[in-house]
Amino acid sequence: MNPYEESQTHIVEANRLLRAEDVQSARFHFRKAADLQWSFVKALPGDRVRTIAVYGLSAATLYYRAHALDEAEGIIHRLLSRESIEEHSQWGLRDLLARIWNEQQMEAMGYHLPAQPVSVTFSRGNILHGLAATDAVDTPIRSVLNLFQRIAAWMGGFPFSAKPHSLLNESYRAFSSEPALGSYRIDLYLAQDAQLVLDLPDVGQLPSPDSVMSSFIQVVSCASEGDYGGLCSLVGDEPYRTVFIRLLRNAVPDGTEVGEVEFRRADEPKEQAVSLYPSHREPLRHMLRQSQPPSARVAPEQVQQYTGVLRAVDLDANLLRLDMDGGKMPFHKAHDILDDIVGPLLNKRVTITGHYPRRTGGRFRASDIELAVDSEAA
Amino acid sequence: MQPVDDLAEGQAVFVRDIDRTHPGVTPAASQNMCEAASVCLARHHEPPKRFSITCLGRFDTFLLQWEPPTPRARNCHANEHDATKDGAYAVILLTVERQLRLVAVGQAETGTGADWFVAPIGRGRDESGAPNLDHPEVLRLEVSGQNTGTIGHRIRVKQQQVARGSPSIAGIAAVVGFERAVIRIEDAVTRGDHEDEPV
Repeated sequence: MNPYEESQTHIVEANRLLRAEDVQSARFHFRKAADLQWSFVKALPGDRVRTIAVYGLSAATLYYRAHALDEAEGIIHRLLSRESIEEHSQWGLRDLLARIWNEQQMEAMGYHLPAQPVSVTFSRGNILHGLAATDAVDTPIRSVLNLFQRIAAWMGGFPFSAKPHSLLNESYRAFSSEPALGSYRIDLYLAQDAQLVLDLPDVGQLPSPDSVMSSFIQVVSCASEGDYGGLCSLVGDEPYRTVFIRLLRNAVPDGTEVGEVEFRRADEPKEQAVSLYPSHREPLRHMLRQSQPPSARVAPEQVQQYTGVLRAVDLDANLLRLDMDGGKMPFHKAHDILDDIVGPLLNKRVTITGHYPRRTGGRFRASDIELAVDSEAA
Repeated sequence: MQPVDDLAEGQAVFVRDIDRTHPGVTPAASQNMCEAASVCLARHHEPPKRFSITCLGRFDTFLLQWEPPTPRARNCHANEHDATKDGAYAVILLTVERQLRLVAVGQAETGTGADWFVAPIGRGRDESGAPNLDHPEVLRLEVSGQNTGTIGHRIRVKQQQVARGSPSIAGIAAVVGFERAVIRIEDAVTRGDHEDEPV
């Protein structure tokens, strides 16, 4: 068996172990494969430029997968210093180098990065190449980051609460990349505190950032297909399901500033991406109505809506303050309008839906809040 | 590059032992890919199943035969994404061998997946049997699999990937649609936008 064949055998075994979630053993085999491929590259005559470039990058990638970041970095520098490395290979090597540097810095900060981020691409509407109005994209991005945390809470078996458990805030930290050229695409990472993973006395195992992101894509996929049954099967817990839908609704494009928001794991082909369009707003509302217990439903003729700019949220008094044409107006909010849903909507034009319950002395009670769409504004 | 029509009507191609004819595939890799392919095929069909192929603009069909997957194999390849990718490798390597007389001489990690390199039988390797990608007849092979639905869009994406790849190594794109029993193999040049051909 030549070194190449031997390395392939280790790669097959490493991937099998990864599927079995035995990361440490998988890394051992990736390391073996990397050593073999790098030895193979070093033994090649200098004029075998393509073979050196391809298997040099391959060896560096294998060290990266083995989490031998210093070795991977060393190989990349050696390859980039060769004059004969073609431009295409240089790009691949530099891309890997950037990922290695990020991972090294994250580790120095005590965080573990997921293998692949979730890429969020904004397009159409008033989105330019690499440029977007910040107020058009910040609500969806912040809502998605809040959704990551809620999904982590749900997957970690935390009982539903108005605010995610403080441990989740300490354990995970969200990062976003700079926009990629040619679109307004940013990569969202959920990094996990490596120390807290080890020291969790009273709670279940916190999910890995990778599993949170995979579940996120599944949730978006069910929601975008209007598959409420599928979403119920995936997320059996009704309060979590409702907050997932509400946060996703915050990310639905308005059709004017943004026409499409696409989500995918960065390593997945583009054709497996899931997109949200303005037309998804109504199916998501329908899902929310379906998830509402019959006792909480209000007769349609009693439902009222107000539209204005959300200026403040008074958490102590449970009030939302809207700046409307007729001046500022406070609204009592229901308990299931959660801070992580309202937060990304601050200073945005929103529509509040609710009714005047007779038993509470006629004070308007807001049961839902969402971004206002001009064509729908009340 | 001319497709070779060497299959007699009714002759089935077995999804197994790819390592025997493809020097860049180890026995362990072959077993893994073939097992994944059997899981993907068994989701939709009973063996043997006739697949229709469009290879560089030319039509053909062949019967694909496989061992029904064991429960253990199904468990091992329960991740649909990984199984579809590995299963596609098996089906496509068998297809390019029969249609184009090309065999795998190596596979390389790229950071976002793996590229296959193929060459005419007996070429593309050095004296030790290791891949020699500097051989002028070596081609890069971009492979993708799709569990359900048409593959017209996917092949165009793969063609673009080939076109964006290393200019010093020419490439071909290949996609298998497991449910529809279709395979398309194209070079970087788009040959029209026709969807999957009927079986």
